[in-house]
Amino acid sequence: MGTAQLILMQVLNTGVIIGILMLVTLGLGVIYGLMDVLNLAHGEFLMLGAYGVVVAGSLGLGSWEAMLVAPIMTAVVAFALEKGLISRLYRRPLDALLATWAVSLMLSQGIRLIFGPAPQSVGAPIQGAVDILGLPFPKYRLFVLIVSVVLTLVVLALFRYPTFGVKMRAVFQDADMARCLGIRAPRIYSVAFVIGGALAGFAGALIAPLVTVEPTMGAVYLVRSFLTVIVGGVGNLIGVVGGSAVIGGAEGAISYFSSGVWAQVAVLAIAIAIVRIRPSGIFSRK
Amino acid sequence: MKNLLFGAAQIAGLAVVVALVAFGFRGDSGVEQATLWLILGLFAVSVSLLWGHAGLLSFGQAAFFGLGAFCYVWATTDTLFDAPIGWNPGIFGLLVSVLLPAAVALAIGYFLFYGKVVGAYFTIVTLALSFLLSSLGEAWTSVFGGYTGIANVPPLTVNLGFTTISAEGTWAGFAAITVVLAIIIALLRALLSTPFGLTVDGVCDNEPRLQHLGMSVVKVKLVTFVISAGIAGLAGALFAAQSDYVASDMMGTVLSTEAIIWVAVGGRKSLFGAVLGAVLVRGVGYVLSGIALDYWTLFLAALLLVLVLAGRTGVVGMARWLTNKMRAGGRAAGTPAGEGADGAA
Amino acid sequence: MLLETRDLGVRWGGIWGLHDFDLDVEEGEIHGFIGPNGSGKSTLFNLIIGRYKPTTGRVVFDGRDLAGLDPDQRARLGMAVKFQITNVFAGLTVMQNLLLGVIGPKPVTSLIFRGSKQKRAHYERAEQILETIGLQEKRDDVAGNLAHGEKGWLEIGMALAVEPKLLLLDEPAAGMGKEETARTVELIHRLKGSRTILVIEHDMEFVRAVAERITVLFKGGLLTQGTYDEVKMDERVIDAYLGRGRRDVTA
Repeated sequence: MGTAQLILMQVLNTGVIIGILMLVTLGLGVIYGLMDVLNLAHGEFLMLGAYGVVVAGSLGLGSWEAMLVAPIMTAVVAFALEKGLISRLYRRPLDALLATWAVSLMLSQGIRLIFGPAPQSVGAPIQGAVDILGLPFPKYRLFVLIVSVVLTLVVLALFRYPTFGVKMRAVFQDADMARCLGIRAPRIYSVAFVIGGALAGFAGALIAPLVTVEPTMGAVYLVRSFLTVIVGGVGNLIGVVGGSAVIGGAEGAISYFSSGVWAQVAVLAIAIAIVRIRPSGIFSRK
Repeated sequence: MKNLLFGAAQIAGLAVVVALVAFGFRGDSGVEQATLWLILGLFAVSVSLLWGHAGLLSFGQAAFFGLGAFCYVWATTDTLFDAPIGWNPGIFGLLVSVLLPAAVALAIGYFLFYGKVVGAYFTIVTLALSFLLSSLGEAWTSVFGGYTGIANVPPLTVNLGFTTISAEGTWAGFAAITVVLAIIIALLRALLSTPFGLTVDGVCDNEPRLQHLGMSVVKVKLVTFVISAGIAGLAGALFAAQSDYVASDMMGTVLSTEAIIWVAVGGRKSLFGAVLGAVLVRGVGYVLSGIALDYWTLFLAALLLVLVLAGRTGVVGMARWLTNKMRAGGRAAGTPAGEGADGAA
Repeated sequence: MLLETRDLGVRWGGIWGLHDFDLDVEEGEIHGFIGPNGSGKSTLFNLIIGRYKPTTGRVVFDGRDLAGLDPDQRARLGMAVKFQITNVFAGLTVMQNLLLGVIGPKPVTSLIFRGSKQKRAHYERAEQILETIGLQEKRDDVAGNLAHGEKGWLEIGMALAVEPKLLLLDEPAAGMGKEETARTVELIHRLKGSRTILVIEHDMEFVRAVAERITVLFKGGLLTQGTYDEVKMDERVIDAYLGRGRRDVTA
């Protein structure tokens, strides 16, 4: 392959990273912005989504059905988690960190107990490659890229949508005021949390054929997502998109030149530098 | 002075009890394991200092533990560091294992604390750093031994000219570690009873208030962070010397969060509790195996969850709370405000 | 002139919390600040102690421009504050609270190596302040369990422990009953002379009892200055309070 094609491939792969990162971070960022809760179990939602596909597969469902069932399963878990735990941790960020970390451990350990530590293999629903400018690029990867970007845009649009979106933004800005206006904040929190979890679950289902599916797979995405939130800015969704582009893009770009680990090191360094220079994130309005 | 001796005696007592129990279960190899638990207890002490006392929750303390372990290996096997002539390589190794992590902590802490990275942000950054370091360790095989790690670590021996003290034997090793542990705990207790110790409590309780009283809170946090890293490094080195083995997953988040559980179980503010927590958790884990061990981990995570929600401070905290209640009887003795991770309400 | 502000102002978004603020405070003065809610009184204090960064202007303390100085640096120069919402070390005892005030301005590393003579000196100083604020019986009580008024005095005590040249009290009588308020007035009188004191208060009787000069703020700006009697008669001041009367009821 020529250099141009190598670069193109890297760009497309980076696009996949960014797309998935956006889906995962949307949920995380919204919850953090709304309730000051950093959910360290968020990576596990992604993991549950991937394992959801495994379970659906073993129940005889096709790949496509599995991809729709997985996020629903994750949404149920998210709902239970929010009602049982998260709702008690609003405005208690440090306690939330520890508690959600404990949940994350419980979830990954639980999955490990059920499925064993060995990686599961998941087949891609779309096989074969498509020709882009002379480069054979896996169709499924392209599919993931397109779907994740589209879905992100849909969710962003949802936030602009009159009823729900405006209510959400009101609660975002000033929860007490919103309550005075009759908006039921707890309901909004719950819905937001579940949607966030479902998105992460869907992301997990999407990438299940592409990565190693094992109980601790969520950790990498968690770290990336947090860096994205910190860099992109808390409190607005443009920040999530922008931050994903920065973090995902940096990792993709740097891993073109050196190994994955050094890329992670560099990305972390960049993220910390950005936080020092602009503590509330690049795209925040503060 | 009495306070210090009491602290040292307490720990020594605990150590002896644990060793005897372990001996009862599995003989000599039980005692060897128990020695390792005590070393991990030292690591837990460093977490208690940083988190329980200063209120800084770090998911990356094991990075210093692991670094210390590697420093000891590098120094004693002449891989990266050469011991100066005439120096005992073991002692030199211990020295490096305290100083290097402390220096790294100084650099990181300086950057983070002066950069006003605090609270939850600080915790997340430590999580990311720890993750990174263990990935780095796995990838950089020549230095860190990759996934399988480095074995055949020389044990600790001190040559006094007329005789050699070696920590090689089972009971000799146990004794040496117990002595070190007791000394460190005594020193820490001394530190915490100085006015500096009070400022550490102040930073945990109400940092802005302390700042407006003229205290450089950044320095307080930095000093605590560095000391805690040094102790963790020492623990790592001792672990390497006693267990004959180091690997890069010693630097990772798994060990870091385990230590948080130990401290949460034993009592966040109590140094003794930290050791107790480590010994208890590891001890039970030793006796179990296979599936039961996996369930044990699950149980511990659930326990952490319960402890966080309840805001109580673990075994030692509950014991103190109970004794206070009994002593106070009817009198309102005023228990300290709930020690949830966020500090005073 | 112990404290001066020139053109001091701070803006958030489109709103000026404080603007064009010029202030002169003499050494040894007790200076009161009044004004309706939102007029910028606490903002002024926060700018002086370094909690907020000014958008315009500067603060000069003891001849020194405070620009760029962190709150702890300013405190070490000799200023101490009691906050509007009582702010003590809730998990520590009263004695420990005061001790932290005593050692607050000291260099951190020196605190590790304090000998027993120095420690005793700390304790004695803390005891003195304990007497001044009248909380001797509560010495070993946990600060979080104190009554509201007692917490306020404790905070004043902590501020005193720093041995400040300038003491800023933000609503020291807030939430206090008649008796406690009287005690607070008396406390402030006892502190007079050795220090310069700035007091924000809503309670007009309180301000009249303690302050020599008064600055009135309105909508982030300086409305007028003078003695209590001068200010009381000023039309603009009466307007500003919109007929709420000259004796404001404490919250």
